[in-house]
Amino acid sequence: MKTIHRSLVIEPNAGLKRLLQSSLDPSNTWISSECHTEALLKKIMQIQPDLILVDASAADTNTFELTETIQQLNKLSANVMVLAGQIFQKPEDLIKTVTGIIRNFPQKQLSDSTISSLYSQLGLSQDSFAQILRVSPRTLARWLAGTAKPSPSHRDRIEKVKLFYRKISKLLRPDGIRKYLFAYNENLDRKRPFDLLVAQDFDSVLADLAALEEGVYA
Amino acid sequence: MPEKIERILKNISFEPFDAIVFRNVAKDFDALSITGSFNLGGRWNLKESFGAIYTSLKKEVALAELERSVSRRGLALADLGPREMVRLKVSLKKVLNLTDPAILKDLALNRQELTEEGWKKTQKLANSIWKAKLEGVLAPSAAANGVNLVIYPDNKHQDSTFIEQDRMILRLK
Repeated sequence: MKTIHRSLVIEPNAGLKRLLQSSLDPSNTWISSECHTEALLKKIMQIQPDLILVDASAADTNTFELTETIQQLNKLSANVMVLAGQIFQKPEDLIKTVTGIIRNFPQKQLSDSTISSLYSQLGLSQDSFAQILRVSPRTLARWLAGTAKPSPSHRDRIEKVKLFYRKISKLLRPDGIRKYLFAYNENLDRKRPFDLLVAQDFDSVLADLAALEEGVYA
Repeated sequence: MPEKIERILKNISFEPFDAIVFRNVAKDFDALSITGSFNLGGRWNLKESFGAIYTSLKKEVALAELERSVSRRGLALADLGPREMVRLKVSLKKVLNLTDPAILKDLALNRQELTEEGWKKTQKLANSIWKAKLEGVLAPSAAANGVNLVIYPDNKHQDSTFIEQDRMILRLK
């Protein structure tokens, strides 16, 4: 099964790393043996994973450094899971567990924490967020309560909002995100980015963010 | 009008340009990227036609350009996440110097037209400059009293270079 989220597995053991590489989809899963905090954080910023799995049991791991890294990771928006690899008798069991976690991750995510964290991180009310997702506030409330799940087309829309959030959260401080969404933007024909997102014109808003990222002159 | 400009550009002498210039970008962002300018367009490039690297000869001018760009989005510098000022070492063979009054006269333009609010005139001129295979343009900043260098990587001469020298975190208030 192909997953729709991005995962990063931190596996300091070279043998296990090779086994993981042959078992996981390389288009959306990255495997790193890097445990040094600074280098690892740089990699995480590049990949922007939704899920980070850390094997904290490898014999060649510097425990102090890894602990420091995990403390840093907890400040990020990605979900972090720490595995104690030594509890598995065979390497294959660890591989099976890691692939299982990655495979089962998106379904759980989309039905609870992603949606609720997304709208609050964007500084939106539930009603405004429902407008962007093109659902009724009642449907959104049911998703948030876990009594209903988004359809595949709604999941695609949520993915677009996630992509937008990934981009904007790198460029603006939390207060600035809401301000950006509701300000009349001269680069967007004096339209508000929020209205363009409601009209599903994500491309225009992402183009404006790319220009801001790059420092294009007006 | 564009044909006329293109005809004039053929007869203008172009200057080489060697200097350190400044570019503001988001933290850890590729300092030579032109994706954003290509997708949105800017004062000196046409949307989805060709991209440009926007730089300034002085750090203060690059910062003023950033402030202008965020205010057009209804934001202030304090709303921005981490950003960096990158120093680029630039060596170009063919640059049009629009701060030279003689060149402006040849093109029947004045400084004000290059810095006014709309982008129509500058984008039209930029299109002619890009088509004439020039590597860049020196133009007055619309944000501050200073000069910008806009580089067109598509037209890079084989002996020209523009490379990242170093970068520092911007402290934004």
